[in-house]
Amino acid sequence: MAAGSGLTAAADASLTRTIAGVTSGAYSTPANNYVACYTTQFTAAAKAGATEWLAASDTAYARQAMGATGTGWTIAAYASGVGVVWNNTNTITQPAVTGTAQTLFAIGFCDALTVGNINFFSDLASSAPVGLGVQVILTASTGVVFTTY
Amino acid sequence: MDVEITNEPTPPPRPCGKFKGGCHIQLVEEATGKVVNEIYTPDYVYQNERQTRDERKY
Repeated sequence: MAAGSGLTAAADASLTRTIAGVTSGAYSTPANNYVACYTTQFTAAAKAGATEWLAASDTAYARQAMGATGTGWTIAAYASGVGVVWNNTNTITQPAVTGTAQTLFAIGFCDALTVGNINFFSDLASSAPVGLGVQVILTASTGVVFTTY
Repeated sequence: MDVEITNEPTPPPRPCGKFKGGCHIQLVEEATGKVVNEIYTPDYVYQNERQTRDERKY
């Protein structure tokens, strides 16, 4: 399946309803963004359905907060021909894998520490093994870069 | 019978309403600090190469 990135299918729908002024099913502004790891892709076609790592398998696993009220992101002004570029302000580090080795196939950005909604994502082209004792790290400024255009 | 269509809609210019991005992921051995894998997801674009790559893509 082709790797995708961007808004999830659910966020496509809720944001559209929000800008159209539809209250039901509208988007809810998150208090924070949380980075999550997935063993499968969202895919470019479905933009949904990835399987998140489980704390029952990687006992140290937990979604990592990016920074409340948008502070986790540095958002540039719109530039012609480029759009709005935004990237992670801080380094995000997942605890070292403990218990069972994992496979990383996508990164997701959620609106809650557990459950909640997955708002946007980025698939890897191919899955990567993450062994015991290994951390998934997104370096400040360059670990995550998105463009709205 | 063929129907003549006037002012036929044209495909939207690209990029249009795109929301894309990617990650530069480092897998690091905690005990040693060694980077064991460095992964760029397909839609990751270096900021200083952004425009060039976008133009190539579209």
